[in-house]
Amino acid sequence: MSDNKLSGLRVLVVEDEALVAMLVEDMLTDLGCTVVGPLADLDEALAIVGDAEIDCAVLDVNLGGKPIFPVADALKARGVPFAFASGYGEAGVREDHRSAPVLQKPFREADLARALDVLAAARAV
Amino acid sequence: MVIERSDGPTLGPSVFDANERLLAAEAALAAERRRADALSRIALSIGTDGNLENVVQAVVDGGVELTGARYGAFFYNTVGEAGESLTLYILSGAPREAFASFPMPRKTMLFAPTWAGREVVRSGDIKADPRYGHNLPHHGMPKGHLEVRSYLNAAVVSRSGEVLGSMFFGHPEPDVFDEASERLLVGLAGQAASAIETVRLHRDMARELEERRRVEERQKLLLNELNHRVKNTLATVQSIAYQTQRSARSPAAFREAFEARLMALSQTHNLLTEQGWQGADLTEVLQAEFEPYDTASGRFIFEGGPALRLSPKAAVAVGMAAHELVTNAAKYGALSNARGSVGVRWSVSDGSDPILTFQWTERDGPSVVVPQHRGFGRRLLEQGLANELSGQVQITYDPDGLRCVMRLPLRSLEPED
Repeated sequence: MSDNKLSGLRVLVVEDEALVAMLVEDMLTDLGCTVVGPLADLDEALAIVGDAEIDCAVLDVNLGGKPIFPVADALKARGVPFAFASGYGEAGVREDHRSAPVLQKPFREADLARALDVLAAARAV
Repeated sequence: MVIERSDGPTLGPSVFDANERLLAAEAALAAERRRADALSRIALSIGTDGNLENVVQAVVDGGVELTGARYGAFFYNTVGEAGESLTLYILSGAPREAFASFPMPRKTMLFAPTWAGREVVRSGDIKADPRYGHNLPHHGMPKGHLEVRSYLNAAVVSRSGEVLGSMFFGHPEPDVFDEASERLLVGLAGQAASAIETVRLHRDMARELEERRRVEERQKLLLNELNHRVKNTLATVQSIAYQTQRSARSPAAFREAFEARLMALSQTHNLLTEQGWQGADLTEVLQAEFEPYDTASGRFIFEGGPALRLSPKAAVAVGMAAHELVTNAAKYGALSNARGSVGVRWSVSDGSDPILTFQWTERDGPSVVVPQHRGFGRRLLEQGLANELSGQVQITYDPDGLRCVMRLPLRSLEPED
């Protein structure tokens, strides 16, 4: 299942539901990525996005009622590409972040791999 | 008036009479035209203006013009704590301040016909009228009231018989109003009633539309929220399937463990549904998970702790964690032999950031073996739950029995507000 392009990619995971976080972590591990996190807390995520060694990120849109967008803003400022994971689908994503890939929950490992391909390509540019 | 011509004979009485009749006819015609103008202005205002105040103002202004009154007023019938009373709404021919210091008309003898909604009251000189001046404290009009002697009043009654208000016209001179004014007033009162009803109808319709729009908006929001919840739950189930499949040794074992986890999730959902997904009680969440494992036989020493309300998200996480602890105990731990027991208790610390300390203590089970791999349950507890609820979870494989201590801040457990 491992994808060469994704192998060794350092992916930050921000997801506040334990079971979903575990699933994303397992999927990423299966894809050969290195998981940073998963983090469930907005402040914790904000504290590390500034200098954590990461290539890209998968962000849950809603962290216990708080929108993830401050984290997305910080990543954007750093030039780190990211994808959203959301039960709301694209409708839940703030206008100015609509260019980021959106994974509608539930999603398959292949969907995640495709999103990561996009992120890896964005990083290479 | 005598009209003379210097060079001819004085005009006879017949010519003089004709002239006077002509003038009278012209005056009557002019008056008639004024009335017609006033009536058409009122009709136009009623037909085109959606603003109640403007419409009633047009009716009262028209009434003043038509009846030759000095003042006109429209009072609303309002039902308050002290019963029915009239509230000044529109005034014509006098500044509003002229009424500001007076109490509103009460259900006195003079005003009573208004509430009965039948009669027109006309008085040539209200101060000499036997119906006037019987009531305390003023015995008539309060001091400083606009000077009124000629008096004309009619109730404004809806088609259904509801008294909407009352129209008053007054003049400082006596005997200004005649039967024609009275008839006019009746017509005006009817127009005022229909105008008020029309505006109310429009307002009610607009309100109803607004209410419907709000309900639809709310439904859309709820549906969106429901969709979000379902999608998240599906992702949770997907994760359970994935994790269970990883550790299952056979399809039958997968099915058993998967179903048990699904039921655990479903139990918490039931509790949350009972409370409109606002939250769930910690004791109830735990007991729902423990119940299938024979809590009545005394092998659960459920000491409990202070009552605690969990947010839906925390309830799902805690329910799942409790399920993993109890199934593990039933399979390998203190509930897998005939004499083991499990103690469950918790406490909450004081302070500005209170912490829940939850203790799960197994005793007298089979000898404890430290597992080689970290299974789903342990990972969920130590990593997933600790992370999701911003706390710490410690599992100890004590020779006397497995122990699990969770330290979780209330701020990540309790529902918001």
